Amino acid sequence: MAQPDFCELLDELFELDPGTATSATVLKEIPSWSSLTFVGLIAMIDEEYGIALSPGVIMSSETAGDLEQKIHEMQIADKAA
Amino acid sequence: MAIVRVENVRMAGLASSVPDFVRTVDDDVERFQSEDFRKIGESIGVTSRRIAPEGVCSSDLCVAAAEKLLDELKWDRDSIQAVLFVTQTPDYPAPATACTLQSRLGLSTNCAAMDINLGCSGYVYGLATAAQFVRGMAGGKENGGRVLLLVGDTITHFVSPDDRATAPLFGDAGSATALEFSASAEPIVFSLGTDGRGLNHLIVPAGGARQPRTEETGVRTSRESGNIRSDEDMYMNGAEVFSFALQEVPKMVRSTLAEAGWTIDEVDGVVMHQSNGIMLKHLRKRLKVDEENFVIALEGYGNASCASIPLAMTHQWSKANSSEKRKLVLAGFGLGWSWGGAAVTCENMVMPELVIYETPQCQNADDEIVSKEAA
Repeated sequence: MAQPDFCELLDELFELDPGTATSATVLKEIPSWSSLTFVGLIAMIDEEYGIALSPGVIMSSETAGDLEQKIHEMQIADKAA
Repeated sequence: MAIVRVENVRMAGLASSVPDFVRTVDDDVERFQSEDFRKIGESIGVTSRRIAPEGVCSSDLCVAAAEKLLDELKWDRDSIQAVLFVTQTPDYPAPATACTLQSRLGLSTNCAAMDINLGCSGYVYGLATAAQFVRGMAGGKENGGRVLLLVGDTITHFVSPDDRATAPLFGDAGSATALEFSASAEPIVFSLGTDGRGLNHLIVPAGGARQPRTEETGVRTSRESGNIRSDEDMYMNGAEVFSFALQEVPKMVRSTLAEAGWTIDEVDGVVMHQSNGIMLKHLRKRLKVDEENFVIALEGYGNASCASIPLAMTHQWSKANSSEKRKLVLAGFGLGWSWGGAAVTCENMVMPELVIYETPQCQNADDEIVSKEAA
């Protein structure tokens, strides 16, 4: 299955102009970052990648690229299990 | 998961009640001086909710529901042999509120009474306990033993009005469910689980024996994200709750279905604890439940803690044809962490319309935070 484009998904979730988010985007500096969009982010990752992330994993990811990397690592771990 | 299977017990009726005070998103906008609350209300599916003024207890809401239900069922009160009360907001630290309910409802002294302290999962646990009481007492006889299950919380009494994580979400409600023996009833199947490591993500830290009330525990101070509350108020980490629900709820629903021998497609209604709109919509998609079979009853009520499942059932079916047979999956989950699923077949249930509890004149609410519903 083709992987969705993580940065496009972030643009959509945080209501940013298309092409705004990059792998260097610092998550907590996204203007619409809030407890509500945080929950939306967990839902989006579960829906698109089939992974129920713990909030701690998101909190310890500084950039969009860091978080995407962790999602891929968890996907691989899931397949191996 | 712990599987409990109870034969020959039916749900004979269900009534729910809410207080007559309403708080709306307009009140939040004013309180927090922020228009953001309109968007928050829309996202969580709550733009108004029911609030019990101080002095109104969850037992009062449950008694109102129980009186209505017993009137419509026309049950002889002496035939009720157990009254169970699920709540986190009892009348007193001691004794158990269920004992007071035995006399308030005019039940016989040949009646067992006990409280069960659980929140969002509480209705399912209450049902599992009540059904086993019926089964154990009936001895295979019709009218052998009837049980009244009262489930309710005035959870807003634990909510700081200045905590944006909880204030716009919660509401108060009570309910009464009647169970009895029935030789022809389909089995009720429960799937139950617990993970106590979730303790600190959804908690009222002070006021119990572990951290007794002091002058300090009652002082509201600024906490994470500028939320203002005391240690006697409820703390909720919404992201942790959501992550827990994603991990456990789909598993629990699948386990419940498998133990009942049902597929999701033959279920007529999925009624989850009404946590919030974002979570419910996501869980519905994740479990591939059709929209018309997935009950959402948040608007106008709020998240009503342990009473949210019966309240949602009243909302959905009190005006529907009661003789229609319905296969329902109930799913409670939340603080503890505690979770429970139930597969129950409902038929010919007495379901009165929602009872609006009228606050007695002497219990005037704090006018600043609640406004009485316009009649």
